[in-house]
Amino acid sequence: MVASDDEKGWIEESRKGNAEAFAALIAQYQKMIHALTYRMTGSMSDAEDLAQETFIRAFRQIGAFEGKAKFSSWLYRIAVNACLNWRQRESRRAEIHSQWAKTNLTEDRSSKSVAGDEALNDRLQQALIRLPAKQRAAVVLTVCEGFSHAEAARALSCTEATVSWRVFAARGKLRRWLSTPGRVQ
Amino acid sequence: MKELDLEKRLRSLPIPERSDEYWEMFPRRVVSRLRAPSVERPARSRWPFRLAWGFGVALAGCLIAYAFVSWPGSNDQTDWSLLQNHKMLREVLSMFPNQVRAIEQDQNGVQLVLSDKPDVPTSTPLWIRICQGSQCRVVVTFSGQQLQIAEEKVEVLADAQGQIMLLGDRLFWSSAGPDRMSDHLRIQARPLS
Repeated sequence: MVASDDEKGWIEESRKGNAEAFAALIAQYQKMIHALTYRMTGSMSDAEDLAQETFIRAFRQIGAFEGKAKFSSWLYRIAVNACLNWRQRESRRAEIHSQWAKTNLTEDRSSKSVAGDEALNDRLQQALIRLPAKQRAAVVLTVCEGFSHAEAARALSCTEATVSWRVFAARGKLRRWLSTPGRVQ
Repeated sequence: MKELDLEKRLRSLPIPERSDEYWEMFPRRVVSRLRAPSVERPARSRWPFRLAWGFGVALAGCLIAYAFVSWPGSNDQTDWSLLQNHKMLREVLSMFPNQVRAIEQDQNGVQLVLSDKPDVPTSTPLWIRICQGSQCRVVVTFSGQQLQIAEEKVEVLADAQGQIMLLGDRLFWSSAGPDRMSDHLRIQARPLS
């Protein structure tokens, strides 16, 4: 996305502390950030909290945005870091509880052959959440969001080789977990 | 699942939709958080609180130390039943309502871990015994709190059925499974109802 004049103006105004201008930037990028935070957490409420956290951090740090990279990439970087650092325990707790709660439900569903596609998507989202956070972030950025490995490396503050390795390892795990019939444990 | 299928599936993984109203309100919610003044008590008014807090911690320490020392047999060897004494636990918990994160006992004594705010949710105390080799310790804590086990931070979780889980990045233990995790590590846990 090429920065429009409007966007440049909003960024400039936000730098001066104008929250209304920043609200326009939020409106522009909120769906993108929610998508990322949802894929990283698998939870609607966590995704919302993290999206809020991302924009709040972005507003506080906007003075450090030099305009060399795209504003969206800069936001992604903040969002990914927020996802990696924020409420990991709570997310994991929710994940474990939901896995336990879903165990019977998933088995019931599969036994009744209900909604094959939906069930597969459920399993894939579960499997995604089960990945280590950094591998999950690498997959979400490169596969789901279409980043190049170089862009993902910048967002994740690591080398391209590390991103490639994480994606490779994550794919292997996902394939293994999803090829096993039944639930993703 | 084939590589291509996995890629395609991941790309098209659906994201739950939110209402137009949500998208309209979201920027306003963030902006209102940005404008909210940070609430901090003036430094002067915190002194009496800190004094009372320090005094309370010292008192609780004395109480626990006294209970530990005066418990029959505790001079000879560690009495692991101390943290199953409901009366003592009740008293300690009532001194610091919603502030006790854990009470830990090992060969060296008893330690009280407190939160500086009353933010520990009321729930059933959980008794956990962890033995690493010949070194054992007993912890009374609550669901949602963290423990250090084998150089790893783990979260303690309990479900409605009274099952207890310990969850870390590499370590996962459940009271539904065996006590022994390895030759070196053994864990027991139960709710103190």
